[in-house]
Amino acid sequence: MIQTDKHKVILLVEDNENDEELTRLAFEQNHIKNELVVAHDGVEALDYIFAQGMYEGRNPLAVPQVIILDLKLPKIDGLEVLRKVRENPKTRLIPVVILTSSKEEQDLVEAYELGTNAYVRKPVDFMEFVAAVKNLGMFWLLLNEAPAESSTLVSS
Amino acid sequence: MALFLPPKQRPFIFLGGVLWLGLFALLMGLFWQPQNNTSHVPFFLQLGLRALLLALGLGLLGFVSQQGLVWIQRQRKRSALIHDSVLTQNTSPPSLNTTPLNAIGDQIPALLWVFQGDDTRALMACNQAWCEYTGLSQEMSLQDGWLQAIHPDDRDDLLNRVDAQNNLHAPLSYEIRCRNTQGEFHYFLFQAGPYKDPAGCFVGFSMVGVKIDTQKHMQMALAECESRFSNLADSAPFMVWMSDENNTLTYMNQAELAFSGLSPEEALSAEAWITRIKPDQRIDFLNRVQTAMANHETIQEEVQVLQADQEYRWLKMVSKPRLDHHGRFLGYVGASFDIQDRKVIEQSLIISEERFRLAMAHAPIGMGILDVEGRFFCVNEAFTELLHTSEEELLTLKLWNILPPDDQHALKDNIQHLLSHQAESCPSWEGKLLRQDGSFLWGQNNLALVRDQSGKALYFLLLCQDITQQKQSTEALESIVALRTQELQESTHLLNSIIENVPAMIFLKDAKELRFTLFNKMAEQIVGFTKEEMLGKNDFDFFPPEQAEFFTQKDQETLQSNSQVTIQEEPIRTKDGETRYLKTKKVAIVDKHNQPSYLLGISEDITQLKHSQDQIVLLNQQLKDQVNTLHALNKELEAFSYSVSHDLRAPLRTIDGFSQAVLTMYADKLDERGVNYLNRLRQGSQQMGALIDDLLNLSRLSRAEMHPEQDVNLSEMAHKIAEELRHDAPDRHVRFDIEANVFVAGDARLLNVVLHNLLQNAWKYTSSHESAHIAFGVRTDNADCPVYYVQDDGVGFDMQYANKLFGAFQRLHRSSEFPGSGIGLATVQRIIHRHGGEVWAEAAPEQGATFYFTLEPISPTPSIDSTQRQPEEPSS
Repeated sequence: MIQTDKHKVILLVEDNENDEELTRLAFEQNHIKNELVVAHDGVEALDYIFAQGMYEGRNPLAVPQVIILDLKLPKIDGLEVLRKVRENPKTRLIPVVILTSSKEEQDLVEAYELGTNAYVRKPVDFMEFVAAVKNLGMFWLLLNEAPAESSTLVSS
Repeated sequence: MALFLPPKQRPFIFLGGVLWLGLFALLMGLFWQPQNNTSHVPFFLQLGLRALLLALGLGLLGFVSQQGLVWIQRQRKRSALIHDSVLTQNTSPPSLNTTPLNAIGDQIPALLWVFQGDDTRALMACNQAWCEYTGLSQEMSLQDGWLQAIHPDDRDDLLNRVDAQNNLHAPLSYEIRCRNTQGEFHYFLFQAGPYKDPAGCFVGFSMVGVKIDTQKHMQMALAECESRFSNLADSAPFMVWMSDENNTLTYMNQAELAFSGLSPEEALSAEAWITRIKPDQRIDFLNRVQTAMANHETIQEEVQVLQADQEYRWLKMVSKPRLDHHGRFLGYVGASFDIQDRKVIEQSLIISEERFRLAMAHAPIGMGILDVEGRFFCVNEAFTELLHTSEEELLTLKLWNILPPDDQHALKDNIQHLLSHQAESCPSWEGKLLRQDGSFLWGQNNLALVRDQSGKALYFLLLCQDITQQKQSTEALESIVALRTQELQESTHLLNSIIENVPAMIFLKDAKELRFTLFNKMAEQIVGFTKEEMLGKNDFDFFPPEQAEFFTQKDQETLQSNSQVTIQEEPIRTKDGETRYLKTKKVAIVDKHNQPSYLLGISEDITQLKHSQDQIVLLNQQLKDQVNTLHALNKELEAFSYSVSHDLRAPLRTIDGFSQAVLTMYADKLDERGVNYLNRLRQGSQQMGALIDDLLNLSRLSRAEMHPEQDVNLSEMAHKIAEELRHDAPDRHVRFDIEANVFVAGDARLLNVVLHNLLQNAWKYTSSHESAHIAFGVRTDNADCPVYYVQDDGVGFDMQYANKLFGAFQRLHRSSEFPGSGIGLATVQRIIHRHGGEVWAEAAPEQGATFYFTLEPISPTPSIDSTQRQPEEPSS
């Protein structure tokens, strides 16, 4: 059992519904109970993060516990989303994990340059995928405390 | 002076004067040493002798006249007696009784007159000598008859004297010319004395005449002499003086007086004379003169004396002691000559001689003076140094002794011309001067003849400047010139050979008429005309007018701009009528005044090139198209790869994921077969995932940037891989033989992929054997480059399929036997090729396989090698 702060939302940015389902499945198998908000493209993801567009009115101070970000996305790709998150002082401390099929070195390097916290490649083998998600959850949801600034924001 | 003496002494004073004069004349004759005119000597001697004779004659006359006077005294006494008797006899005029007179007077050889002592001038008596001399009888002579025998010129004088005698009654003497029987006049000296009667009363007077004809002549000559001497001395251009035995000055001539500007009295003062001597010479001069005078020696001095105009002038003084015939010292007679001009000339001569001597002694060139025979008599130090000899030795030589034979002949002619006045000067010549030790020097020599004012050849002046060094450097220069000339000829020959054989058309035209002056072999080949045809002609003689005009225009453009003109393409019609294309460079070749003298043309036959160019343009276009296509394909491939990487794997993941979900979540609803099928689904999708990864790898390796490094340690790499392999299958018995220290240059990451694939293959294809042997190493027996190999003793393969080995997805074994995607060797080949190397394999079924590869070195130059060596960076 992984004990997590169930109030914290996990933002999954994923356009592939199969992958979305498999990710949910992996979270489920790992007993991660946090609310999973799914954005299906970059625009949707940014709307949620900055409480704009279709998420207008959402409390902008309630930032996700972690953003799980695919790179290859319609409209605005994952790296652009990452850049925007890191550019904004309110969101720049949100942990972002890249979860993608791409094994391209170029993508990897760019993602780290933009300040991703982890880069996980989606394996074909589902068991491996479950294991990877388990690790992710362990680290980012359980072990890794958000900085004080972020906590303050959250508590208020 | 004699006039103031008593009449009786006058003859003696006169006699003394004559003696003086005679002696002086003799002295002058003896001591006078005139330089130019020797005719004075006999004159003075003659004068001296005459004066002596005159003195003797006068002495005789004195004696005779004494005797005559005695006689006259007697006659007077007798006359007086007669007179007295006459007086006593009264009234009869007094007359002479001539009888006793005749007796006495007739014995006297002199003429005898007795005059009556009144104003009648009547002769009272005369003697026999008178009658015989004149041829007049007593009677004829008495009263005034005697006058007819007296020279008419003397008559009045005589009569006046007779009158005077009558008045004075004192003795008188006259010189009268009397006529003899032949009508000739002779001089007689008459001595007159008063004749008194016994009572002492004057009655008349007598006159005794002695013939003084000879004496008179001598006297006249003496007077003339005296006058002449005086004139001579006074008009002499030099100064004359005399002193007496006390060395007191007694005489100075006009010249002396004029020189001093003093009166005769002042001039004769010794002080006046001494003070006029230049002070700085005065004491020495006086000392010498006084010493000489004390010894009565001849004095010869040169001294500066003050002239009347207060200017000092050099005088030469010659003084001789005067001695009488007994050798007694009588004083000095001296003469002084103004030698100022001579002194000035002498001084300037001394100065100029000194100058010449100094110039010669210090002249840096050799100088020698030779007599007209060519013998050295004066040489300077420089000359002796040049000839390595001493002055003494050189003065024994003649000019010929130091000249080589050829120069001797030439010079002898020149000297003849000089001596015979045919030439003004001898031309200077460059020639050897021989030394006595056998060596020589080169001299620039001049010979000049020096003549005196009359043109007489005096001596030769030889000037010699040492030009040995110049000569030697000239010779050295000449030999260098000769050498350079030869080198030039050789290089010209070389250049000509090059021009002839160079594979380009080369021609040369003269700048004025643009006619060919050079036309090489290649030019002949291209144009078809021969050298013989072309040379001396211009373009218009061979080529169509429009071509010739074009060529000429370009030629002129080149010459005018004096620069290089390149004509990229110009058509030219050959002898065969074919048109060829030339690429030509034209250059103006300028002379030393920067004026173009030639036009050089170098042409390349670009006909073939021109034909090829069209082809090339076409091919290039095709190539460009292909490259563009390739680029597009590459882009597509990249996009494809990316999309494969992302999208192709997603469905596989879906298949696998949901199969797994079904297996997990719905296991109780599936039978064994269903589970089996779902597992196959998962297996298939996983295989496909691996395949996609391999493909992506291959694609990535092909596109990945190379990071070449020096000294990549393949041995170490092989060891690590072997370790990993062993670790994965610890049960297997595989022996690895890895050669140590195999270092290569290349991309370490890619080379790791190569080794990994090859070793994994070896590992894989030996897995069916119980034990195996895998080796890695390098062979350097191939000289070109080292060959690396990975060898195993596994299942091997049939070489017949070797061509399929390196193709992607090509497999020689079934997957069930040996799993694999068939991408590994394709990847290996791609990497080796990217390193510029080759990869190949040798194998046989069940006899193992050996994979060889080479890596073309990255060929760094040594200097770059050290600077560009990068530290090994582990790629992340």
